[in-house]
Amino acid sequence: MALIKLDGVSKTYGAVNALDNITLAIDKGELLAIMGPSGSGKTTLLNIIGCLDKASRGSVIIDGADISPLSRAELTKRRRETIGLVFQQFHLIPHLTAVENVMLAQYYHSLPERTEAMEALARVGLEQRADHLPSELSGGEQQRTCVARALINRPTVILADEPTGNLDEENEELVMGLFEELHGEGHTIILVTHDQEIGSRAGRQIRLAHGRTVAAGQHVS
Amino acid sequence: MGKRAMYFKLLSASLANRRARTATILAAIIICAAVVSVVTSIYRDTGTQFGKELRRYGANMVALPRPPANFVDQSLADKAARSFGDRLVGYSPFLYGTVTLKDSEVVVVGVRLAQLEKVSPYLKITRIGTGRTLVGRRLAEKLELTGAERLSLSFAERKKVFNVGGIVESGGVEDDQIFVDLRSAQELLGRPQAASLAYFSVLSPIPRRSALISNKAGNDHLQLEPIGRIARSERQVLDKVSALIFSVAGMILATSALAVATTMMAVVIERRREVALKKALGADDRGIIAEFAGEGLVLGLVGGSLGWLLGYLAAQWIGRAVFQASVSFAATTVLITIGTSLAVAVIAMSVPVRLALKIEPALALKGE
Repeated sequence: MALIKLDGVSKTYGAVNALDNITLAIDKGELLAIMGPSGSGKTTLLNIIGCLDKASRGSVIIDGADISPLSRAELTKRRRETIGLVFQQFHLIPHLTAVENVMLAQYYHSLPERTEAMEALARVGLEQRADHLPSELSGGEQQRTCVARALINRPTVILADEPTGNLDEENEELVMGLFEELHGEGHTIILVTHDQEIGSRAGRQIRLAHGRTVAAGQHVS
Repeated sequence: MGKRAMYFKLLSASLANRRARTATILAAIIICAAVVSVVTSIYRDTGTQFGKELRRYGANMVALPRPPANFVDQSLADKAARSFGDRLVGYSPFLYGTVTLKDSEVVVVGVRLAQLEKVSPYLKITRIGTGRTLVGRRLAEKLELTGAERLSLSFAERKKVFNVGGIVESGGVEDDQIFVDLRSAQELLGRPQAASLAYFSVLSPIPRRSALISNKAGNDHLQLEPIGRIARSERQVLDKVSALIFSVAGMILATSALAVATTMMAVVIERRREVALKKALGADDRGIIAEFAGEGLVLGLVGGSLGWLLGYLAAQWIGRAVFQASVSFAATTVLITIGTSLAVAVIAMSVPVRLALKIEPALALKGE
């Protein structure tokens, strides 16, 4: 049974169809890349799966629960409990240290626990940089802090929107290596990227254009 | 680090990292608090001073006999005076009678001479001797009084001699009267323990309606009422001063609240992505409100305390410069000032917080 199941999902903004009748199933432990050009609807799709946005039509089932009829507050609760988010622009709070940024996700989820946050940072190789502010970290380190923050509450699924979009090649490799390791450990990860090479490292790719699925790759185990 | 410690970490980091904005909000709250502190201190302390200044008008309450009685019982008038407590500035029963002096009729007024200047401060008294009796200026001229003399007053079969000690002048009927000690007047006129009326000089608030004061047996009464002309003018002056002070304070409060609100709006706009991130990480509306309300309460508390101190010092200066009186410390002023500052901060935060709650994380994090 699929961990995430979208059935006939559409999203309209006024007269614009951002997503048009998307049907998709994602298995537990899968590393999926959603690809497509700018404006193809990949971030909108990620936002709907990540409970940051609501579908205009269709159903979205995550871990057996239909999130389509949920209110904004209920979506926030679901997001807090099941989703780990990684952003292209990192979105770390500038006046909190790396470990405090990780603890922030714990704070809104349950209880901030420094030991656990340090473990998450160690998992991404940043335990020595834990007490540095984001401005003192490189782009790659900032993104790895984001990954640690996404991991800290043991989410059902990790969603990453262009996670290497702001990184140089070396850091891109570091971060993608990290995602592959997490995938190897059984984490379910959905990546949004317009980069063919990054997409090709996922177990499966789906391609969007004008809000529709135009191609779906095979499962690679 | 526990949840509370993290909350205070977020709060302090947020305030410390926006020093200019925090300083602007703090300045607005300090000004607001200082105004509240000055107004409440002045109103509380020098309001009383102002009331004392107004007592230069003389008595503002009068006790009259209740018909069919023609006289006021002195013990009832004393009872009425006691009812004013600390607010009583001066009080005296007045007993009027027409007596004979050197074959002429003159009006004698029995009063508590020590209280005369308090209930009738407009009287100008010139001392001319050691006696206690005061003679009106026109009557003194008619009698060709040159110094301390003895006047023999008679009523019916009774006769009393009074030592003149001063000349009294008001430009009114008092210039033709003789003011003697109340008890002597009562003995001369044969009206022990009686008075024609009693005047009271009382600090605000002055009762608006008349009241009936009765003796224990309930068979004797007096009517205690405000002297309309004086009481009305006093009330009008005090009401106008209060209205002026409070409207200026209200305007400054509104301006401060507006300054806090607009600065906080700018802060929310500046922190749009931070709020969006917190929402994306799972912060609910309550969590967002708690963070902004916490900032408001801290700023309100710090600004309120500093503002109170500033206002207290300013009130001391104003009190000395205008009323020649210092302003005493009052815990209620501290509570009112800090309470108002907290209220202004929290109310001013309500609009920006609503703006923060409307932030859509998906849009804000994409930079839209």
